[in-house]
Amino acid sequence: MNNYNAYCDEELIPLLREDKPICDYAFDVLFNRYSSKLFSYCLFLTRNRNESDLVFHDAWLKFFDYIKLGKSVEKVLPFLIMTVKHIIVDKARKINRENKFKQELLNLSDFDTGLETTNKQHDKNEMLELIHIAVDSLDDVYKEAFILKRYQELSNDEIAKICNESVDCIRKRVTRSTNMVKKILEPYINEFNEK
Amino acid sequence: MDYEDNLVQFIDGELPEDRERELFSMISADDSLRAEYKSLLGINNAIKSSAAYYSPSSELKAAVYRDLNISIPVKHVPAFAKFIQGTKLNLLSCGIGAVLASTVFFVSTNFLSQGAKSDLATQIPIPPLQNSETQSNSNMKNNSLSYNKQIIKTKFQPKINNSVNESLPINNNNSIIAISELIIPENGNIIYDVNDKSKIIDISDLTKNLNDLTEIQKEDNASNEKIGISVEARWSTNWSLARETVKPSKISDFNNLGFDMFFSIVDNFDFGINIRQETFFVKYEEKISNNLKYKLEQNPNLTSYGISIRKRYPINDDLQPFGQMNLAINKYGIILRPSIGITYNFYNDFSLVETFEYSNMFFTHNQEWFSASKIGLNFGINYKF
Repeated sequence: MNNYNAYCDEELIPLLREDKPICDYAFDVLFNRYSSKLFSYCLFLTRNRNESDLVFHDAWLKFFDYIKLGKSVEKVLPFLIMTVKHIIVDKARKINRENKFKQELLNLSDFDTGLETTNKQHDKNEMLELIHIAVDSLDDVYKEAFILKRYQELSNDEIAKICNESVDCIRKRVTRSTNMVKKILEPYINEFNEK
Repeated sequence: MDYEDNLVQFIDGELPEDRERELFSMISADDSLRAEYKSLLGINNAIKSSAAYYSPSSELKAAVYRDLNISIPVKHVPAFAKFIQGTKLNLLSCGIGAVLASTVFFVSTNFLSQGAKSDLATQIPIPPLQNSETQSNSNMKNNSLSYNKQIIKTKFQPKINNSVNESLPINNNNSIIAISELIIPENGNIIYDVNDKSKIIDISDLTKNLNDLTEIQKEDNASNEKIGISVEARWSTNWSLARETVKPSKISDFNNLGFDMFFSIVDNFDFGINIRQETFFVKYEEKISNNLKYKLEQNPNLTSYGISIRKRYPINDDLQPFGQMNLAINKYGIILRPSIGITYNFYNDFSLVETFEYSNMFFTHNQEWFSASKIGLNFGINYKF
């Protein structure tokens, strides 16, 4: 097997149109590269693990079909995130559950069932849960900017395209949202630092 | 608050250099700013290190792959792979050692053989000239030797009359021609009657026999040069016993080639080491969860290292059927390979080799044993040193 891990997205995407096993290898590399980031985004948007699973699953299927149709994708993760957004909006429209999504509290237990429970890990989990709560308290526009920047690690340009905003606007949103989260978490962070 | 924005932009790597310097001087002077900087770093690091928490479950991954008809490429690292990886250098050094040892053995054997010949040629003492009349007379009487009984039981001790002025014949290597017992093996020492000129050794006769002598010696030495080492290069064509459903993703340029080195241990019994490039069509199972199991099919191209034992059943010098057992390992598993074949000596030390073999590879995956088998025909050339 070639070392497809060394390939960039632009090199891997044409390989998805190749026969097996090349397309399998290429897809596997892309999946492993972006699955965590995409899944965290799904969780933040849906606040529900089962919903996240469905959205995540559908997003990969749509992405693969899109590529198989011969269309090209500039960046894989932004494309997947856009796809997830569309899927969620469509679902929300259909079942009118958008408000329900927002009412649900995002728990860390939704993220992973196999979390370690050592003391150090416990502190870390607590910290992550606090971050989630802080992020949840932000307005939607800031929340989205924060999540895409900090969790998905997208550039301001990519976020700007996804949010259909200017890069400057996104830069301000990212800065402000980060400062807001920091303000919310400051007392806890000091406490953690004292530990 | 500008400095807060600067801190965020600095963490994101988006702060211009001049503002960076300004920020650093502020951080060094302001404790609260330093604390804020640490808080931001803490949040950022906590989020970055949490990536593992957001991984989709293995069931979800399997569902995506299944619906897209994607096979999960399994990172197959069985126990043997670790062994091979760990001992690759050792195997390489063993191989190099074996080749070096064989070379040294071959060279030294050959050298000794040449040396013996050389010694034979150069160390033959020039026979002491003997004109012992009494001895010759008595010998003449006792043995009644005829004159053509030139040579003798005693090695390299011809007695030449000192009246012979002809120089001894010289061979191509400028060494004195050896006179061995091979020439005319008869009993008794040669004695020349100094009184009888006609009984003087006829050097021209010796010269005449030179070519025959050399040929005999060559044949004799050639037979001694066999050092019991042979090398064999083989190409094979194979048929997997389970019908192949996938093709190898990559095939080595040397696929289906094998190289052996055999050492003759005892008569008609050889021990060999070999390296071989080959493919095996393997089928095995991967348990994803309690109720989800993947059946995997792969066709890896592998390099196998092995040892062989070959028993020959010669019909004559040229035709030699044999039975062989090969044990090999590669990064997948262990191969057991019984085979039967025949060698035909078609030119000097070169032989054609044809083999029919059955190969069975045993390998483990997730603590379960699986096997893959194939049959094959080998065609090759063997060269004996």
